[in-house]
Amino acid sequence: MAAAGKGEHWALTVLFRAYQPMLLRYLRSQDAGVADDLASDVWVAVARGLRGFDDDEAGFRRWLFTIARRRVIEHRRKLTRRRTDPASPDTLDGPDRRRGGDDPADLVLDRITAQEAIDLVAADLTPDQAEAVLLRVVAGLDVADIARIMDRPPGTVRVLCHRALKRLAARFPEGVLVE
Amino acid sequence: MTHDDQDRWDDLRHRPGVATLLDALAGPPTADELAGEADVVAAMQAALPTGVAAPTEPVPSAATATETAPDSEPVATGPVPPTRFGRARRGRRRVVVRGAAVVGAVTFGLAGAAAAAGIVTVVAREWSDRSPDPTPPTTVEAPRPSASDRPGDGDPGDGATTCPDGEVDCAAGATTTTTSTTSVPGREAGAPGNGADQGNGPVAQVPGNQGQGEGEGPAGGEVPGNQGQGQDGDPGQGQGPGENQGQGQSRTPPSQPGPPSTLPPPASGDPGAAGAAATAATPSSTVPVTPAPRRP
Repeated sequence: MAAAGKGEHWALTVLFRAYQPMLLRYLRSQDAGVADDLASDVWVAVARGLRGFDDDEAGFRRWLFTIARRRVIEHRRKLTRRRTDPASPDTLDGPDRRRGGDDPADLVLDRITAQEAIDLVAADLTPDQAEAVLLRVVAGLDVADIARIMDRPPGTVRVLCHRALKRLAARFPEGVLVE
Repeated sequence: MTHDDQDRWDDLRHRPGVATLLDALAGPPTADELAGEADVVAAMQAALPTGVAAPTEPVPSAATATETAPDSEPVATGPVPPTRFGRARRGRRRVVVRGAAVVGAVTFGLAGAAAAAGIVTVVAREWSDRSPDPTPPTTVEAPRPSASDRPGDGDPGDGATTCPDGEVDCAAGATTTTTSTTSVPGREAGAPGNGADQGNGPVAQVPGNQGQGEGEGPAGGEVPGNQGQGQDGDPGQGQGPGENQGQGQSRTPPSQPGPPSTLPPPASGDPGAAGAAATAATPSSTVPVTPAPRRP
C-alpha cells in the first residue's frame, strides 16, 4: 500500500488486479451501463487519497467500496437531472431472455458466469438486497462494514441479506440446478 | 453479526441453488474484468498527488471514511498538478516579463553607452519628424557591435526623429521611426548615417533569450538596438564564431601494411592445342514411302 501511495507501477497494478473484478461486479449490479466508467473514477479517487491512507487490507476494501457506492449515488443524481438513461446491450439483453424465458427450469445454474449471476441477483432482488448481497459476497465485507457503507443500521443489513438469500433459494431451488 | 445470524447466513448461503449463484458471483476474475489495466494504472499514477508535501487535509482512514457523508468523500488535497492551460498562461506571462526585461536592459544599456562615449550630439530640437524635408538632426553613433552582436534588421528610420537628450528621446525616436517606414520606405530614405546600419544588436547583450530578435527592429538611427521580441526558449540563432569545430583525432591507429604474400605467382598455362577440323555434315537419311495398295 505504501508503494502504491508512492506511485509505484507494480503496486498499483497489484491493487487493480486484486480489487477490480469485485469492484466491477458490484458496479455492474448497480448500473451495468456505466460500470466501467465508474470503476475508473473510483480508481482515480483512490489514487488521490492513497498517499494518506493508513490502514490494512480490510480497511482498504471498505474504503474502496465506500467510494464506489458514492460514485453510484452521484451517477444516479446526474441521471435524475439529465433525464436520460443509457443502457448497454447487456442490460437490454437480460439473462432470462437469453435463456429462453422466465421459467427457472431454463436456467442451468451450474454453468453460469459471474455476469449472469449478477444479472440474476439484480433482477430477482430489490436494489438494497442486491447491494447488500454483493457487498457481502463479492466484496467480502461483514455486516458492520456493509451497514456503514450503506448508511443503514446493522440489523437492517442483516435482514436484507437474509431475505435476499431466502428469495434466491425460493427462486432457484435445488431441482432447477440442472436442466 | 451474532452467532445465530452467522448460522442462518451459512444455512441459506449453502443451499444448492443459492450456493451456485453466489459462488458464481465470487468466481475468479475474467479477462474482460481486467481489461484496461494499463489505462487505469496510468490514470492512477497521474492522479497521485505530486511532491512530497503532506496533504493539507488529513485523509480519513478507512474506518472513518465509511462514516462520512456521501458527498464528503475522502480525497487527499495535495498540490494539484498544474493544468495544461495554467502552464500555458504562466509560460506566456513569463515570456512577456522576460521580453520587457530585455527591452529595458537594451534601452538603458545603449543609452548609457552612448552617453558615456559622449558621442551624442544634439543638433537641434526643432528638427522634428513633422518637417517635410528632414535632415539628420541627431548624430548618434551606435556602439560598435561586438563579435557576438547580431545586427538587427530593423526598418530604417527616416531620420526625422530628434533625439535631443539621448536616453529619453532615443526611446521616443524608436517609436516615431516605426511609423515613418510607411511613408519613407527603405534605407535610402533615411538620413545618412542614421539608418539601419545603426541597428546593431543590443540583442546580443542579453544572451540566450534574444531568440528571434530580428523582428521588429528599431529604429531610425537614434535607438540602435533591436529590442527584439525575444521568445522564451528559442535558441539563439547563433552566428558565433564556430566554436564547435572540433579537431577530432581518430583513436584507431593507422593500419600497418600487411606481410608480403607467400603464395607463388600463378604459372602461366600452356597454350591449348588447336581444335580438330569440323567434320562434314552427313545428310539425313530419307526413307521412301510407298503407298499401300487399294483394297478392292
